[in-house]
Amino acid sequence: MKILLVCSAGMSTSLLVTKMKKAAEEKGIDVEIFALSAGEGKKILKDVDLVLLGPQVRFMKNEFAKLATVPVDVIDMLSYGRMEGDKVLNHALTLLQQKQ
Amino acid sequence: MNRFISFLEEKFVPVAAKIGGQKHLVAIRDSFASLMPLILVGAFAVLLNNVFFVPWSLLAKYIGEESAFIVWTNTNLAPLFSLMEGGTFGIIALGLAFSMGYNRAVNEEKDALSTGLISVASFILLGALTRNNEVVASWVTNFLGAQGIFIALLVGLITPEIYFAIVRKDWVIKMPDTVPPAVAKGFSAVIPGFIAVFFWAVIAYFFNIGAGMNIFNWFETNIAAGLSVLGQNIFSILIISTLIPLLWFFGLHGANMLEAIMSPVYGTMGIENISKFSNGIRALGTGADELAVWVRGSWDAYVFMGGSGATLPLIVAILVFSKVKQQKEVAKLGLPPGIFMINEPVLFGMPIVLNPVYFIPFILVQPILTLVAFYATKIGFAGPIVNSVPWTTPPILNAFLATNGSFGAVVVSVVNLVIAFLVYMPFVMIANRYEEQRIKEEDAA
Repeated sequence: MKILLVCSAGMSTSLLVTKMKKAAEEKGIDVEIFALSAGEGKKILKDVDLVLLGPQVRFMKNEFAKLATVPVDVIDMLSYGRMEGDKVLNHALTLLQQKQ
Repeated sequence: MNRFISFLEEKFVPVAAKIGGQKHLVAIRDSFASLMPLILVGAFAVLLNNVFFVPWSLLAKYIGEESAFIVWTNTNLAPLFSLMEGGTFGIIALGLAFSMGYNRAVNEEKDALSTGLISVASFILLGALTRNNEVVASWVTNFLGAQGIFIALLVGLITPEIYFAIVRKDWVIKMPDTVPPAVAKGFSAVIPGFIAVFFWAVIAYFFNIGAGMNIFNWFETNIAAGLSVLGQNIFSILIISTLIPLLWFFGLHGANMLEAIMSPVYGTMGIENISKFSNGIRALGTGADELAVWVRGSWDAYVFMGGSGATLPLIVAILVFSKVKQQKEVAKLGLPPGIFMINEPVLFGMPIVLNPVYFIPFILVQPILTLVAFYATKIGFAGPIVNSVPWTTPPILNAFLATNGSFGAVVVSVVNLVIAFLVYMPFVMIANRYEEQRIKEEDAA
């Protein structure tokens, strides 16, 4: 399972990635999570299973939804700000299960 | 206050979101971001020269420009890094032309490489390869660099539209199935490519007949000067400085959304400053042979202290004065990234976003810091920005490096940090009082 996090430069999302990876480890879930800038992310959509956008770039949702065949959603503002890796991971897992 | 915020949320945010998602603005933003390898390499090469190896470097200021080390490095090392600058900054417009074609195609799921190459071809045929200007920036002999950015933008925006329109009409040469796909693909690019490039050939032809010069020269003679004056006008700069936190207040990435204007206009001026400085220009002004007072890096050096809205002083103010436990927790979490200009944890976590208490200081602080830094640079107290430093460089260090060692710049940075602190302080107190009120009401209940 590959989860792509996207924001402007890939910086703030990379903070969240670390927290999410830790949460995944604690739960024993095998998932690959990484963060890219918007421009870069658009080019590798075929290789991921889920795209999560930082709330500050939520206006990009349609852009990404048009290009991706996988679910695209926006991360909740408060969870993002407080870097709540476990909450965002749960959100991601729910979306992945819905797809199946 | 709450009614005002709701009003803005209903009217302003949807418009802003639509503009932020507009596909051509997105392409401009993505394309400049794609040029990062060129910009970073060039910036670092120039930084090395300006800090160590040239007679006007920071090091030379301390050990003297006649010292053996500087004389040696100026002869043997500096030319090497100048060459690197020439290959990177020197082709920024060429890179942009390709990048725009490429990124538009990615967004429309068309052949990115072909679109990029056709854009480059159009850019070149319009006259990018020669520049002969003895009056202004006479050392620049082509339009592949900063001087060509606006034409590159024009070409990069229009060429893909023509190309895609032809492809959609299906006016392509279709090969029989027996032909290998890669070959067939090459042929299918011929008609759209031909028409797109032909379009620009006609444009080039008319410029030569009608104006007696190519589009690059025409732009430089007639438009560039006006654009420079407009861009360097304090009101233009203040509008941008105010819109950014306004967008962020609604949780939208302000700088990202405005990047389609900030990069082409102020990013280009920044690159031109670097080039002009290397060639000995020291005078300030809006003229083509003068250093610009405000460039893209000016916001990073003096205004985005810890991120949009100058949130690093806010974090400090909270850690010092706040009695609201949750805000102190968020401030602690936000401090390390804040030093490196990343502040989403604070913006979304405090939250500042949609928080009426912090609306006023958040919107006001940037225009104030902009005014201070702008005039400090204009009167010559702070040196102009002549280096490109990574935007995540911490405050004070950022301004120091960006201005190549101007002490005035360091002073302005410190002053701005203090001003931001003082602007936020009363509102941290107000937040305290709301919290006290809330606790009292809870206890009473």
